[in-house]
Amino acid sequence: MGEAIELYALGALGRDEAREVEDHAAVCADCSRLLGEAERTVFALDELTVPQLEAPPELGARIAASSRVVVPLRSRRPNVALWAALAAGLLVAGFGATVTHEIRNDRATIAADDLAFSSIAVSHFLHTTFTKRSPDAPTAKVLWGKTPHWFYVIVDSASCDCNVVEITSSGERDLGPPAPRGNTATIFVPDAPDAKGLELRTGTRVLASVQRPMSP
Amino acid sequence: MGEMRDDELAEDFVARRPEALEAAYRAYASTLYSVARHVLGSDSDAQDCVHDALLRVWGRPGTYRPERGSLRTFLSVCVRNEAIGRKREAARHFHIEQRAALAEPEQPYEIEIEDPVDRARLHEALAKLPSEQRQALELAYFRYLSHTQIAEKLGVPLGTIKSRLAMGLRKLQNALPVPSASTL
Ligand SMILES: [Zn+2]
Repeated sequence: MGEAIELYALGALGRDEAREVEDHAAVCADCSRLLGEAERTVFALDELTVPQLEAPPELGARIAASSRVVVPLRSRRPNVALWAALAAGLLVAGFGATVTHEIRNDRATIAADDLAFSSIAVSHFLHTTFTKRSPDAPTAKVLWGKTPHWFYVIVDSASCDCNVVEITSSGERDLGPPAPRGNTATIFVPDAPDAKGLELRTGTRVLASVQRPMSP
Repeated sequence: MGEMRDDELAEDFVARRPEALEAAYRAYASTLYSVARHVLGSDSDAQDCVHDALLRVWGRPGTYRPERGSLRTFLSVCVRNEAIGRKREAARHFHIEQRAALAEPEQPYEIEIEDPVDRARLHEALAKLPSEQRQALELAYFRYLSHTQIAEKLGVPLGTIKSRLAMGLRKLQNALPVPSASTL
């Protein structure tokens, strides 16, 4: 990796070059060690130059919520194109109706990609559309998995300024904003047996809501 | 979740225990938030940056491995790089600001450090470097310029800038005080 290691630690690389360094360090112990040394030097500079502030408490809550819903990708690079195609396809398919789907054709390809994909690929799910509560609500739908009780929210906008809130009988849980994937934004929760419904909110304003359907 | 030691946090992080990201954030929140806030200058930008940087790392297993050294250092540099990336993107939107930064005359960078001991340490460490390495390093570290921007600003070939930055940082490694054990 040579000089790229120090350049990475300094933040002097472009994003793509930085990704290459990260990918290489993930598979090379020697470069990982060198990178760690360079990072320690930058950290020592930070210790001298960066004033220490208290982190706002809401940031901790947000990271805690997101870390529970982010599904680790098995492949080193997320297959964004595949995801976006699936999300777009699901958005178009069976709009307005509650139907049971099973994706058979692409199962092999899909299952290899990541947990959300394989959950969708190998289990039956119900398919519902959010009811708009506000004129500026984006179109959104949700797939409700049955084994286990996962759900997958797809918002038909990459830049929805909203959080997904899970409603349970005992309260609610803010899952944070959905992550952009192509022209959509999505959020996947691998295990949510208590979800009774979901809301899209901007601040405290409810943009759209949906109930979990009864199993047929 | 009581106080966890740094090596326990790192072990859990590598093993991808479900609570490991949250625990690491809690242990290093001040470090991570401060570095993002320092680069970006705004509270809400800093919060978004820390959130996204951590989740990106968490979403890509293998990015952190024990050979890399301390988890705190690794996460801090991840957040710093994310912040710098965002700052550059914002600057690209406001072309003028970036142009101005690149066109500024090469005056020595005024480093604002409150603590006189820290300031003296930094000056002492930087003073040990050959001036062209120090200059490149200051543009990268304090002004968040990329290697290509530094080459353009100084009118020096990219390869030369790369080796000045790398050499400079390697020399600085020995010149700077070793971070205290409690922060590593
Ligand atoms: Zn290597």
